[in-house]
Order: sequence, then C-alpha cells, then structure tokens
Amino acid sequence: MVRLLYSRYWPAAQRILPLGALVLYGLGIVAAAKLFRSIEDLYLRYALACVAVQTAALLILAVGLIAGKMIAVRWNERRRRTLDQIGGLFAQYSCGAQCERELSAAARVHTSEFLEVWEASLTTLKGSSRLRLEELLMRTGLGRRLVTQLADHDPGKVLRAIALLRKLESPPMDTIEKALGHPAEVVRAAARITIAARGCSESQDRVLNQLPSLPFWQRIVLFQQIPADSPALRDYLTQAFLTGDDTVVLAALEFVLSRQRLQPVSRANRLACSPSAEVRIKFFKALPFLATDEDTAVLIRRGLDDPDWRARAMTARACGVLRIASLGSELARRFAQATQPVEAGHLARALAALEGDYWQRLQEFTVAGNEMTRAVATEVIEKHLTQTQEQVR
Amino acid sequence: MKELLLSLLGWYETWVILYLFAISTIYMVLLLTGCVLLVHYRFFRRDPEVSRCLEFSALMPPISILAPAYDEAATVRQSVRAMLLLRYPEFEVVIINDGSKDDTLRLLIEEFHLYKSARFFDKGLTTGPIRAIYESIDPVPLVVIDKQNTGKADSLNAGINVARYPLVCCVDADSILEEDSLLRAARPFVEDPEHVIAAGGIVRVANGCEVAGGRVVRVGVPQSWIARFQVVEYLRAFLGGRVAFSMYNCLLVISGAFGLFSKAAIVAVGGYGTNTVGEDMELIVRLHHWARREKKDYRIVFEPEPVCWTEVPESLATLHRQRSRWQRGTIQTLWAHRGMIAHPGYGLLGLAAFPYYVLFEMFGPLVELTGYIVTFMGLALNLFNHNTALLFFLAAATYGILLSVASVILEELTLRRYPKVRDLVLLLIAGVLESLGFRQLLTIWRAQAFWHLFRNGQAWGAMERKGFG
Repeated sequence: MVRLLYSRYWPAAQRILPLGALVLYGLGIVAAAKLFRSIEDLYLRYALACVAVQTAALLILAVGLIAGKMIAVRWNERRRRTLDQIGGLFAQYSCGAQCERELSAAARVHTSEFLEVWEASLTTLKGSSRLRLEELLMRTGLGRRLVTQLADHDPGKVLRAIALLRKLESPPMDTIEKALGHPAEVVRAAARITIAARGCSESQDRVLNQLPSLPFWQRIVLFQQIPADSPALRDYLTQAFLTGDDTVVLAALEFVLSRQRLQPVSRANRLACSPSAEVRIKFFKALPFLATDEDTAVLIRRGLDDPDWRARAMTARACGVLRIASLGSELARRFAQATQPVEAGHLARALAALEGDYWQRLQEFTVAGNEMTRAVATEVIEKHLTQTQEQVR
Repeated sequence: MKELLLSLLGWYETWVILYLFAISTIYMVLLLTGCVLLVHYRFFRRDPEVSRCLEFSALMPPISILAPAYDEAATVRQSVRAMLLLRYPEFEVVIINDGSKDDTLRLLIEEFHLYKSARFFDKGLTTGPIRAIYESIDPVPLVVIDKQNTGKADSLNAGINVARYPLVCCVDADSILEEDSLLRAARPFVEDPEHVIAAGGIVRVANGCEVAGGRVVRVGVPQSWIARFQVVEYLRAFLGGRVAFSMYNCLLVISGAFGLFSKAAIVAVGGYGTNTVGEDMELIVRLHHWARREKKDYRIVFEPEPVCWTEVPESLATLHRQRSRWQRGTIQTLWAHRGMIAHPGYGLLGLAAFPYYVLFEMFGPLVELTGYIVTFMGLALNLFNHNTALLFFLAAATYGILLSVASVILEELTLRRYPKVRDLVLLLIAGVLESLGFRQLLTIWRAQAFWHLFRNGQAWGAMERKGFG
C-alpha cells in the first residue's frame, strides 16, 4: 500500500479506490438481498438488504474504531514509557555511564523507539557526547541497517533512513547520493536536501545544477540548506549570472534574495536590461545584496527608467537601502510624477532613508503634489517618526 | 380519487427515497475519495525539515490576515494576540471593526497601543466609509480599520483595500488559528504559484477544547449535544466533501472563517459581493466564473491540515439563524450564477459540482421536508403500509448514520485530533443521534430559508459568544 502511495500509479488508484469501495458496498447489498429471497416485494427485499448491510458496516466500523483507539491509546502509553526508559539510558550514557549493554538490548527489542530517542538526543547534544551517541548507533548495528535501507524500494523506509543518517557528523553520502536515482520523487527530494546540506562540492554542484528545473518550493528548501561558505555555491552563482538562460538566472537571484548575503555578480548591466521583466524585477530587488562590477548608481538610474513599474519600485527600494544620495533629486522628481501607489511608496521610503535635504523634500510633498503623493508622503513620514520613537523607547 | 391520491403519494414517496439514497451515495463517494486523498496527504506532508525551511525563507509570499469584527469584545484581544504569534516569515494583521456597538475598538486601542495612522491605501474596491485607520506604536504588524457598520462582505473589501501583501487570509475575528496554519495554508501557493488563486483550511469546533493564551491546548468534545452534532457535521463536510471537490478543482466553498486568496484575483473579480449573505461561497463561485471565462489555468484548493478553531452555536435560536443564513447564501449564490449550471464550457464544475449543489444542497431540504410530510400524511390517512414506510426510512437513516460514523473514522485514521477513547465514543453516539432528529430540524430550518430569503435583510446575525478560556 505504501509503495502504491509513492508510485506513479497513485493518481489512477485514488480515482479507482473510492469507486471500488462503492461497488463492494453494492455487491454486499445484492448478496444480502439473496438472503431475503422469501420476501417477494423487490423494493422491500432490497430495502431490508440495505438496512442489514449498513447496520453490519456500522457495527463493524464502530467496534473497529473503538477497539483500535483503545489499542492505540495503550500502545502509545507503553511506547511513551519505553521512550522514557531509553531516554534515561541515553542521558546516563552521554554523561559517561557504562550502560551500553542495556542500550544494545533496547536497540534490538525496541528499534523504532531507540531511533526516535537517538534522533531527538542528537538535535540537543554537541561535542563528545554527540560523538559517543553516533558511535553507539554503529556499534548496535542499526547504523549499518539504516545504510542498507537506503537501497530499499519502499520509499517510507528510505525516507526514514535518510532523515536519521543526515544527523550524523559524517553521513554516508555516497549511499545517500544513490537515492537520487530512486523512482519516488519524494525520496529524490529528501536526498537532494541532504546532499545540499552535507554533501561534498561535486555532489552539491550536481544538485545546484538541477535547481532551475525544480519546483519553487523545493528551491526554497534547498536555498536554506546549502551552507553559505560552500565553494560549490559560490561557483554556481558566478556561473549562473553569466548564462543567458532566464530560468537559471531567476533561480540564482532567488537564492541571493533568500540568503540575503553579499554576492559578487559580473555583467550586471545585462541583467538590468534583460528582456524578461521577471529577471529585471528580481535583479533590482536583489541589488542591495549584489556586489556588481558596474557603478550601482548607473544601474539604478537605468532601473528607474524601466518600463515596468514593479522594476522601478524595486529600484527605488534598492536606492533607499543602499542610500545613494546622488540620486536623491531624481527620486524626488519621479515621486512627484508617480501614479502607481506601490512605486510611490518605495520612492518616498527611499527619500526618507536618504535623510537631510531629501527628508525636507519629502515633507514638502505632504502639502504639494497630487492627492496620492501627499497621502503616501504623510504615511512614510509618520512611519519613520514612529519607528524613531520606538527606537528611543 | 383515493386511488389517484394514493398513486401520486406513492410515486412521490419513492422518488424522495431514491433521492435520499442518491445524496447519501454521493456523500459516500466524496468521503471515500476524501479518505484516499487524506492518507496520501499524510505521507507527503510530514517532513518537518521542509516546514522549518519554509518558515524562515524570505521567499515565502507575505500575507495580510483580514479579520472583520462586529461586537467581538469578549474574544477580540485574545484572538488578535494569537494571530500576531502565528509562525510565518512575513505577515500583517488587519482587524476591521465594522461599527461595533460594544468596546471592541477601545479594547484594541488600549491593549495594542494604537494610534490614528495616515496609512495610504488604494480604493480599488468600493466600500462603505472608513472612519479611521489605527496602527500600533509597538513593533507588531497590526492595523485596525474603524468603519461604519456595512456588513461583513463590505468590511472584508475594506480590509483588502488596506492590505499591503499579495496574499490575503480572511478569517473570523473570534476564530483561533493554529500557529502553523498560515504556513500550511500558504503551501499550495508556494508549490504552484502560477495557478493557485485560493486555498481553504479546515474549520474545527472549539467548544469543549481547552484554550490558553489564544491557542487550543487540549482538544475535547463539547458538553452540549447540539455542539457535538456540529462536530460530526463539520468533519463530514470538510474531510469528505471539500477534499474530494478540491481534487477535481470543483470546490465551491471556502469557509469564511479561514481562507487564503490571491489579492490580485479578488480585486479582479470586484471583491466580496455585498448583496448576498453567503459572501464566502459567492466569492469562490465568482472566482471560478471569472477564471473559466478568462480561460485561465487556475486552481482553488482545500488543505486539510491548516486548522482554524471556531465556536459553534449551542443554542437552537442562534443555530437556527446561522443555518438559515447559510442556506440563503447558497440559494442566492447559485441563483446569481445559474448560467454555469450544466454548462459544458465550465467543465466538471458546470456539469457535476453545480448540478450537485442545486439538486442536493439547494433543493435538498425542500425535497426531504416534503418527503416527511407525505409520509406522515400517508400514514395518517392509512394510505401506506406502516412497515414498508418505516423500512424505507430506516434504510435512508442508517445510510446517513453510516456516513456520520465514517467521517469520525476518517478523522481518526488521518488527522487524529481527539486523544481519548471517550471522545470518539461520544462522537460516534452523536453521529447516530444526529440523524434521528437534529438533521430533520436543520432540514426544516433550511427549507424555511426559501421563505426568509424574500423577507429578511443581510444582517450579520448575532452570535452569542462565551469567549475562549
């Protein structure tokens, strides 16, 4: 059943299964009707059959539910007790006590509980205690078993093995990489996440090269996993901005926006003039985090002339964040002519960020200009003052 | 004459029974489909690592939470505090005080140190007059709109105008969102950003649960039977119907208590309709209508894991008002979009979902009620065989009970929110008793809605709140 869940046949199965159950129910009624052959009226016979089948189903379901719940509650209680016991042993072991034999026995008898406590302990422990627990896993034989499970066809087992093994200081990356070829996408995704976080440069490179073809949410997850100082990441981003491929550039820009760390980028001018509005918007949004090989003021001036208002708005935002005072007059001029509230908002915030004369200009806009710019200027000034007041408090 | 009457009544009786079987069979298919989908969902959404990554990503689309409030003094502070503690990278809470007569606004001003703000907003949607906008002097993303009383739909439209973010989450101010509900509800927008325009979460009954600090800390079954029946009803509707309809992109309702929308899509269709009492359903149907007319590749989805807890009525009078309003909303919406019924241009939505809603949700109560009347008439006038009539209705009733019990089992198999055996036993009993009186009462009230529709205005309908905690 679990394999079916992860297989490519599942979409078809999820349409067929409910109908199958209904057909089964119908057959049940037909079979029950045969038991009431003595009733001549056909309607009555089938009505009685319906009542019989439904009552039987009702009773089976109700009894099954209550019995199942009772068993589950007891099982959970017992499991909690076992978890507590193993947790206690782990606490003693990590403090240096000699209880390896008891732990090995627990690993043999209560494998699932042992692994659960082991996983939880590893998220809290550091240093030598953590290393002792890692060694314990290997000594109990569970480490080897998990590595073997990585090659299993059952996606559930592989996922569990990956989730546990990625906690190790040196996970068996060669074996985890093999999971990239698993038929279930969910396993491949888990392997990619682990490789991104813990893999060697070459493996990370392979995963990074798949980025543009991955769904957006998987990209978000991978962005969070790859270490900022990874050489593979640095090389990937440098290369990505050089390719003319919009999907690759967009993924790289998303990466920069996600990590919010300074990233060197060459040929920035080409990105600022990209035919794709999406690329230009994301480029100007990410500009505060990009160390470009060109004059930022020139790039911003170009962004302020962009035909798309969203790109102009992001440019104004970047100008405020980078505090490029030489463009203050240009920002003020554009603010006076702005028709799009979002763009006007970013221009006004940029003027406020530049302070000095431009703060004065912004104040003048509260009584001059059109209704929208007056309102936006007033709001930005108010917000700026309340934030200052909050900082003072 | 008697023979003609007998054959007419007999004919009608047979059709009513067939109708009841048909509706129950459809529910059964929906429940089974829901079950299959929920099992699949459990397996694919369990990686906490992914949730953690999404929680801290700057790429998650920011959300404006819109909560209209009318006389919510009992719960508003706690609800807002809980909303501000939600786990999501970037969001703002916009409370719309719809001319409350009680202390709602004063309490908010005092609790959250609000000041009258000069916040600018685009009046993209036409709304009633706004008296003032307040923001907090504290570093919390809270905006309060104070406006004249013009109804819930108009309040939401005002909130949409003021909202700054691309996604808007419409909730009831008295509801409690689970702390990861936004993350979970936003997941479809992240997984399929090009196509998803709306997503709804599950609404659960908060009566009987222990609430502390604006969070449900212990799930329990309500004390009153009226609320218990509603627990079963909600489970059946959300875990069965909505999951299955969502699979075929035919979801016609996202609860007004918890729905996440693309702001651009809502503005494109003109916001919430103010001339209906079922504004939540009407908006979804209008989004479908608009997207299909514009030939957009879109999706409106239901997510079973983001949970919103809400207090349900425990008095019959309040429940009567609520159900009457819901039914009137359904009738108004279906009538307003009647052009979609059985229209092949709208695909499965026009050919299956809409006819289902018209036949079973709109006219269902009328058919059921007349069925009861005809049966009683037939029995009183000795036109029917007592045993036959009883047997047929027993068959229909056990079918209904089976569905209720199945929905409780579905809950236990997939989401498992009720921890005790006693809770499940009570819900099972409620599932049985619900079909023996409560459902018939709701049928009468819903049938009355046809009559009320022509008389009543569009008031919010006062809900007696006990307040959580």
